[in-house]
Amino acid sequence: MMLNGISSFSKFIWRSQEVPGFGFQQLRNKWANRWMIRDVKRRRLNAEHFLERTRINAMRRNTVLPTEIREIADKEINKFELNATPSHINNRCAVTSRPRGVVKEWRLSRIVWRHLADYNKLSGVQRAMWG
Amino acid sequence: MMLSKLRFKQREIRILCRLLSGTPPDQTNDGKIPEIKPKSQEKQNESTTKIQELLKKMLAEPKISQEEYEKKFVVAPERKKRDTIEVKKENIEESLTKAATDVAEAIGGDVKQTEAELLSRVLGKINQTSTTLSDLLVGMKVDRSKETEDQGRKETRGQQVRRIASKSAAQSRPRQYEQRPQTGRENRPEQKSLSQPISINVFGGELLGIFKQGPTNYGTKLEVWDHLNQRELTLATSQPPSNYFEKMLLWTEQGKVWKFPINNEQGMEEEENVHFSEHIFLDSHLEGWCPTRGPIRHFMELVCVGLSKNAFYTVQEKKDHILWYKEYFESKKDLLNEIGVWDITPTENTV
Repeated sequence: MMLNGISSFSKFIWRSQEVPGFGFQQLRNKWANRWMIRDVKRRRLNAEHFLERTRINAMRRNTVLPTEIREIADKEINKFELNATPSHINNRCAVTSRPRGVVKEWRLSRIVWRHLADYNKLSGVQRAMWG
Repeated sequence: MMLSKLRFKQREIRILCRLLSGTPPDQTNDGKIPEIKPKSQEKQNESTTKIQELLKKMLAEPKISQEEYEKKFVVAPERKKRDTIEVKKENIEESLTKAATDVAEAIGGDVKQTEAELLSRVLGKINQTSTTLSDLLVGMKVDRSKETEDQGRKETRGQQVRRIASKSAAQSRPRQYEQRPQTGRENRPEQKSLSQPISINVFGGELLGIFKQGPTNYGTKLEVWDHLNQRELTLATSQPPSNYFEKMLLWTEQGKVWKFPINNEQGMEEEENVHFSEHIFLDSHLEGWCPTRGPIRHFMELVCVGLSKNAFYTVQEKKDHILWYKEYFESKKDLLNEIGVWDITPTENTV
């Protein structure tokens, strides 16, 4: 029982990103830093509420339906968490979590991207040559 | 290839001649000359004609087509091998005929006929499989020589793995007292005389099995260890692709390469049997609940148009989308009735 409890507890710590280390132990996870973890959380929430949010939003943002319904939809959409809104998603580098200079197609920062491209790790990328 | 066929015919002729002459070439060496009795002169004639017939049959039957011949036999063997093989063939043929004559003599009676019968039996059996004895032997010889060469050169990967596994198992076996090797210990006290000190084998007796450790499980699962074990096993058993074609095969299995014949909808099994009209004509889902005109109808038609243009949703998802609106509007029925949007029933308008 003891062992089982400990193992499940360690698993809980391992899986929960909100409590990396749980205050007393440093643990390594696959995220680069806490901002990246925050962004991941937002993306998850977005995916979770995507369908409902878009449906309500469609009712909000049209001129066909009567204003009463649109007002209700306005209220409903404000009930969602702010983190569930797509505008709160921040594009970060998937490797270094750098928030700026992200090459969009690869979701990598320009520095990481350049490094990989230098070592021929990106398919379909060729050094520009002319003249 | 033509050469080999020619050779084969020559050989047949040689056998024929030998049998017709009545004295196989090796018989002179043995000094055993078969006695030909003047009584059975007629019989002998009969037998010779029989033999001739048989041999003609032999010549007639094994007409192998060019393709079959190419399939079965090495068409242009190397010179060295050819020489050795021919020598072997000769030996076998000679020994066969010799053995036949020996047997015939041992039996007695009409020696020639029995010999002919024996030979025809042997050769006839092989003729049934549409090949001649000598050619069959050629194939056998070649195969055998190849096998022996390969075995000498290298062992297969499976053998390697087996050897490594057995070695590691032998090494990792824990060296406990109960498993100490017991060979030769029990015999020793019997051999020694009484004057010498008798050594008693402490570990040779039967085990009581008291301290045997069973696998005790406290409900913990070592997932990492299990995973690693599984990985090790797969690595040990699986073989890396030895050439580029095998690599391509592997990629096809893993779904990295197109399968042939090329189908643009490969891997889209979910929506395979769904007709495109179900994706596009979604108005049927509005029937029964949606008012036939008014803002809600207008809105729902817009929704349907948008969905029909959506290439990413499945049909079920599209249906769910529409039904969600149905539930939503039905939950707001009172309000909608107040406004006068909901109560436009389909029956009124259709009539």
